[in-house]
Amino acid sequence: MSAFRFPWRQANALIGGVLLGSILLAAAVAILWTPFDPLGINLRARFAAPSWGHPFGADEFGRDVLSRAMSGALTSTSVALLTVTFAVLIGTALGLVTGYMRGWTDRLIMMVNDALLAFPGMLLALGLMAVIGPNRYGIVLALGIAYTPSVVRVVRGTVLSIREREFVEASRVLGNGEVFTMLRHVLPNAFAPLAVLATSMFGWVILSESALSFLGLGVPPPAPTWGNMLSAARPYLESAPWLGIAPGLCIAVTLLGINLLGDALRDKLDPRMAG
Amino acid sequence: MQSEIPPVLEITGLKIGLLQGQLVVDDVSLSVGRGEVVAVVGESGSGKTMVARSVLGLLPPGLARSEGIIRFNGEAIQQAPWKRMRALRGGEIGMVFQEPMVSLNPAIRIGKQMEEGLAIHRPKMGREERRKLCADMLRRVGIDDAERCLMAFPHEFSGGMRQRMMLASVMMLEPKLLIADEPTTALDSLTQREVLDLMVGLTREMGTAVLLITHDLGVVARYSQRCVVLEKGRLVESGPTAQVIGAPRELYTRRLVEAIPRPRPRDGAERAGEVVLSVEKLHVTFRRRGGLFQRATDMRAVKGVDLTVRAGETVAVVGGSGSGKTTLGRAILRLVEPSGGTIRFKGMPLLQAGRAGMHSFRMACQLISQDPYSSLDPRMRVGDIVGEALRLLDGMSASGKHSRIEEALAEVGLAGYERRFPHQLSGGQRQRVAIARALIRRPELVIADEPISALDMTIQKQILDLLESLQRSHGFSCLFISHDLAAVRQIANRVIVMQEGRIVEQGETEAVFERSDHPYTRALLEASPALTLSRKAIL
Repeated sequence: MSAFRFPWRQANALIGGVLLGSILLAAAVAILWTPFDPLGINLRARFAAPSWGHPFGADEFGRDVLSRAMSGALTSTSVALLTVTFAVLIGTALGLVTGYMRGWTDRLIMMVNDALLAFPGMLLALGLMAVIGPNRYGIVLALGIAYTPSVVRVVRGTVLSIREREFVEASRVLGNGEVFTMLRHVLPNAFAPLAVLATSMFGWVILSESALSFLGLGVPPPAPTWGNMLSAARPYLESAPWLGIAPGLCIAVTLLGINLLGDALRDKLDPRMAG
Repeated sequence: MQSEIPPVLEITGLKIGLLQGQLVVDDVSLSVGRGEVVAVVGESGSGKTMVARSVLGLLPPGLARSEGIIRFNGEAIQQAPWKRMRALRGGEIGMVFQEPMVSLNPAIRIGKQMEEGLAIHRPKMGREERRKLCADMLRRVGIDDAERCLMAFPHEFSGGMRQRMMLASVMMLEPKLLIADEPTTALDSLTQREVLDLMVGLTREMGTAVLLITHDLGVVARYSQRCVVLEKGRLVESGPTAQVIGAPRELYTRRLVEAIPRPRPRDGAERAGEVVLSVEKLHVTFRRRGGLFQRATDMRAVKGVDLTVRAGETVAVVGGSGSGKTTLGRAILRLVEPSGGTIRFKGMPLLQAGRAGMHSFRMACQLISQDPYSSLDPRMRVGDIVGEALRLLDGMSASGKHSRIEEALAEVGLAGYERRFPHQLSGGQRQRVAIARALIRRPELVIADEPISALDMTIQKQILDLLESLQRSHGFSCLFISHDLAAVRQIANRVIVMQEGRIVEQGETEAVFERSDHPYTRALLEASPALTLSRKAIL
């Protein structure tokens, strides 16, 4: 009976892969070639509506929106990827240590962590950006630090429940060291919530980066990112609504792709889901 | 007008299936007469709980009754309208569930929860009157300070007390039929006895019929007049209890009866071995964190325990819950830090042992824990789980390890299971994996903490037999922690009885079982239904 069931899980992975793949492909192509120079100003094409020449129109300086979205893809996805990687690596390490070791280490790290959590993430990133100055590594660092505390919380919570399970005790009785037990038995079992968090964080980071750019603290203009393109499009939403379509569509497609892939990955890595 | 009084509950041809059509209960019929106790016996997956739940229309989603008639006092209720069903539930048919720890709402005071049923089924009753009835009922189930209890929250009570409260709140409505679904499985044997005695006593006084769902043949034999045996949803055998258990006709019933552990003669000569483990004046104290306005208090779980285990022998530690027996085992394994005393493993003082000492102890002493569902890493394959124990052994080649893993799995009857994941195994198979993991390094001492209490009766027997035969071939010593006295009698050479953190009696198994006159030991022995049953079967 199961032979005829549609393989939804594989379909999810496939669709997610295609969506994300096309965005990454566009970003790769943009390194070598774009239809127009993404920074090239052409006053005759100001606010050009979508046409064969400019499929997504042109902005207030007559720059081709498609070209800008393509070259923005590289910046936006790499910033998001680096930020998520940063937050997940640091957050997992800290969460694992605090959850598993408990005691004073735990209290100290969690105190700092909770203080950071108490700040609105955006505000924290803003403050850090003001110190570091607007460039793309600054963004990665600022957003990474802003997102790490929630990773720490999630990982610590999961680890706290896993360390009470009897297989962790069994590992100790076998004579395994604490670090081995932590990496071999605790960490892999904490993966599922982490995968969900990481994929949804990818979306938040792209949005946060847009917000920072919107406030003038993101990647400095004229370099395009989806975020600063969206914010630049905002004043003209009524007269030239097409300016927002390309970057908005890119963000939506990337998020959908990442989330589908993330779910598929989580199921793939969980032996209980493999039937 | 019918001349004959219909039975309180009559189920005919009941079929319950998954919506896809697979039957979970297949053609089961039974009846419960007035004031009668009828037991439904079966192992997990036999559908016994589903039979009970279907009476009240409480089948879990995905399951539905496809055929069969359920009559309550002659009235067919299998398709009763919602309003009638509501009046039946609680009002005329009461139900006690298995888990007293989760069947009371932790956020509501006991009194309020007990009154809920009265408010629904006796709407005219005033508040004062309800209150008084609740307090009276609590006294009847043996709770003396009933007034205080009504104002308390569930977490302030032990499992046994909670189950009494459940019983009180159900019986307060004077139902005609009580459905008890494994009411005491989660309790230790002493409490089990008390609660069941109370339940049967109360129902007899009130003339309530009881449908008792259980997997424990001892309980069946002690409390029920008639019983029904289910296997995989099918009715195997039914009839008067004495006849079904005393002279089972069907093969399956016979297997169930044979699974009751029996004492067997053991030769005493085999264990003149050296002392492997000696424990002196062991104390374990837990620091209980105080609340906002409470001072931190100490909980002394183990108070000055002495014991020795010799090479090749099995020493059982028995006692009710809270007796400190599990903590003792964990302290010996140094999973909890003792607060005083000495533990020597082959002469080496463990509490002062350095890294190398602890390592050699870990290599030689293993644990088999109670819950096979949580003792195996769900993300690892069986072969890797068992093989992990070999990681720390020096000088073993990869192929040597592999053949050792195969051998260890074959020993526990799981040859060819290397590539499976734990979730693909049954409870008994998982416990076999845990045993293979514990024994693959050929330890000298194995601490088994309630290794069979989470398993079905027939599986319990298999695991016990397996442990025994492995012990015979490998010769390890075993500290067997259990509240199951029948199992202890089968497997142990010596018995240590613990009560409230102290050893109250110890001696040779037969001597303790046959001639003990310590009151706590006697109470434990009498509370064990399987033991009484096996004794009867022998006589």
